Amino acid sequence: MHVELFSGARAVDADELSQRWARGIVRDVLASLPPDALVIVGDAAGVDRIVRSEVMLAGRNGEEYALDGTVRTVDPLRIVVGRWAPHADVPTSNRDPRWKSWPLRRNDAMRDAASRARIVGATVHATAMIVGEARGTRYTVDACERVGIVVTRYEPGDSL
Amino acid sequence: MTELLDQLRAVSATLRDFDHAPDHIEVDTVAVSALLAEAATALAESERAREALRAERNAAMNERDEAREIIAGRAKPPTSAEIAAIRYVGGSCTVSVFYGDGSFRVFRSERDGFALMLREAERVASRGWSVVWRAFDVKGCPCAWPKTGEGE
Repeated sequence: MHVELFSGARAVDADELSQRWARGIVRDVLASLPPDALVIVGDAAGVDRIVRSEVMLAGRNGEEYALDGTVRTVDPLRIVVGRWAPHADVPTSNRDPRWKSWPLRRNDAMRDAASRARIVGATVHATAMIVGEARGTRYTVDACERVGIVVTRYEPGDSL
Repeated sequence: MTELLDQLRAVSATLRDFDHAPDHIEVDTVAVSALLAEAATALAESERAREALRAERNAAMNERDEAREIIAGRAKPPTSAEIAAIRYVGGSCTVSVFYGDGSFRVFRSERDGFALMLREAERVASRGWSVVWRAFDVKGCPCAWPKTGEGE
């Protein structure tokens, strides 16, 4: 089995060109995956949204790590298949000190899920689409590389 | 050619039997000489034709090897002169990178840019994984790398 972790900037939503760029990459990557591959993605806007829509379009198997602590299927039903954080731990207000770093905790959980799959024999790879600052994406890239997950980074407008 | 060979065989047979032939046998040396001259010309022509066929075969084999190289791609990244030449003719190139975890990606110059492609290819190659570069013409068909005279 193969697990593909996607991470990417929300900033691709800023213009149509970036969206097209990200969608092209996502389609390419999904097409290169084996049929039984599992796609792990967040529930953010931008690249995450594009990945979810392309996974649904391609009829792929995907898991969405939502900020409410749930893990859901990537399909129109968004069925809860598990939790990555207990309900009580989920910050509910921006006054909560965990609020700001919560998306990064979620990204850690995605990375951990991929690592666990690797322990039981899955091949794991990550795809990162970096646009602008993309703090969360860069954090995820580092987090993945620290545990030995190979990450392919894409950055638009990277001409020689 | 076949007719000429038959004639030569006939003359050869006659000459072989010459010692045992009856006295009245005669050899027309003019005819034999003409026949041999014709044979020599035919042989030269045949040699020329063979050379031409050999050259044609070599050209076809070179073309085949070149086509194989185009399909197989190469591990060596393009030089800046090759990149400039590809851009000049409106072509493009791809680099297929094969990661050790079983994944692969195809980077395209028109979408991802040469800087990203070179960086990723170097990163992957430095880990001992496989990298394949391919050039494409303006129509998007695989083609040979431009001859730049640099680094050859």
